Amino acid sequence: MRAISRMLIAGAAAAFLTLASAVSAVAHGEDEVPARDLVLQAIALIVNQPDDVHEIEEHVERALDAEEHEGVDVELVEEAAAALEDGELAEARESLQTAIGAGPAAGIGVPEEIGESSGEPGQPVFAAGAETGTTVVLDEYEPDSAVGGGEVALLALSAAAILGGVALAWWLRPSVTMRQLRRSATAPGETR
Amino acid sequence: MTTGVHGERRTDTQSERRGWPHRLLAAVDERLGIDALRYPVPDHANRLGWSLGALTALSFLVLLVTGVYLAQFYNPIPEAANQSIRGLADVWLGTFSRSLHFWSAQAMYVLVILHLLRVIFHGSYKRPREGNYLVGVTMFALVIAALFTGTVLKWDQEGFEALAHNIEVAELLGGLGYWFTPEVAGSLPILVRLYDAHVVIVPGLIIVLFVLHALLIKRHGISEHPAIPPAGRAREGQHPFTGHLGRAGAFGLVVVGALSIVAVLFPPAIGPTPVEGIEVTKPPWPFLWMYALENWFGLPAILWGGVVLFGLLVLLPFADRSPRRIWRQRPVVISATALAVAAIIALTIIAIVTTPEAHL
Repeated sequence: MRAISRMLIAGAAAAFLTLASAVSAVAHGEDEVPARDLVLQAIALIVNQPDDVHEIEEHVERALDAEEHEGVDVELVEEAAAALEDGELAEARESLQTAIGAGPAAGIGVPEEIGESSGEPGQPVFAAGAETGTTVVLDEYEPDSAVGGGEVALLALSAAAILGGVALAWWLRPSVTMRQLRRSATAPGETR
Repeated sequence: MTTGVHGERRTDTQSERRGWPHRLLAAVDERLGIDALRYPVPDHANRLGWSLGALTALSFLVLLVTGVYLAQFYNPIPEAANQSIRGLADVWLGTFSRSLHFWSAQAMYVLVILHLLRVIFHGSYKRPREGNYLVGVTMFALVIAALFTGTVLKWDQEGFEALAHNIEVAELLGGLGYWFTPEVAGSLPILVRLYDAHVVIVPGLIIVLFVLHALLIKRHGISEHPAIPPAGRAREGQHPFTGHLGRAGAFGLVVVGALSIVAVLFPPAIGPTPVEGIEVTKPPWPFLWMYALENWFGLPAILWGGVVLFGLLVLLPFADRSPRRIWRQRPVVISATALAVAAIIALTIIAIVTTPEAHL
């Protein structure tokens, strides 16, 4: 009887410990995101949702509080946090980008990397699976929609295609309308 | 001796009397059988509403041509994909080609839906065309797959978030969704596999099904117009299918011209390079109705929304087996279709006016 109760207590204790560790893991799940990822997310938020300053600040704070700071210059992240407080989004973005080893980038310019590779020494690492491969968050790119000589030629060709198509459709139009078809189908005699 | 338009026989002397273009055509026809395209098509089919399938095919053709050109410059590696699209600005006709590709994709989506609605409205899915209707519904699903994979290929925040949602939905499906997860080939970027799907698998399947669709149209003939009573169909004028292609081609010229103008004036933007762990975008407009459902009911709603829509489309010819084809005589099907269209439009508008939410 005593052996059974001991086994029950041990079982209950094991179950409690398992549950407690699982709950702890879930509770600390957010903190386990490396600082580098959080900095990258903060930059992406600056680029995609510059008005949501609260969310950006939260990511920067979490980056500072993260347990793993590998590949991140914490001082620069602190500078970014201060810049955010002053409402200087561009400055904050530049500090954050430099903090994870990438130069400032905007538009279509190729960013100049100034930090170390994220892979093992001598082993270049490429994105795999569903990894983004993003090291620098580029701004949205709006292609030039100004109408120059080439565009005028394309527009002229397009207009010609439309006019030609309308003329051809008219020329090849059926000799009878649907209304006539319906009417003639019910009337005696030949349609055409 | 050669075979003429409606199967009548011509002597070689008759052919020689005609000009060299006709003789050339006759020579080609003798070897390739292109005269088979001159099967009779009823008069009512030579109208815009009955040419929507041909216009969808034409949009697909534009997508193939521009897609082949774009593939020369697109780099499907995650580190370079977004940048390679930006680089199209430095390529001859690069921006225009991408823009025309983008707008043709939108046109194909709209045209295939209009074609499907026309088929439902006129009851063209009824016996003996149920099989061909299902081929068409499958092609509609493939058009959506092409739109989705094309969205991901941009490899911007919008495309990446679309991919992340798709992976989650695939995991809900278990084994059925395995191909859509990164686990299939862990060391390979999923972007590369989706690129394969976008340029080979999806268009390849569309082409195969299109051939089947066209052959079945020839086999069954273009469906009768329900407004023309059976007694009158025999008296309705008939034209060779090549004539039908000519008129559809004329409409196609207008469509291509209009798309080109839009492509020149409104080239699509490319979003910021993607970052994992945030949700700040909405999907492209064809998927917005699913996004509204997701906002209300969570991620599985994307799956269930699609399953219900395609389930209804697939079941339609089996549920509505009556020979009646005039829309007024089919209130259940027409009302259900109108309701579904209205619901999708309403959900799309709701999604447009809401702010992006995090779901993953």
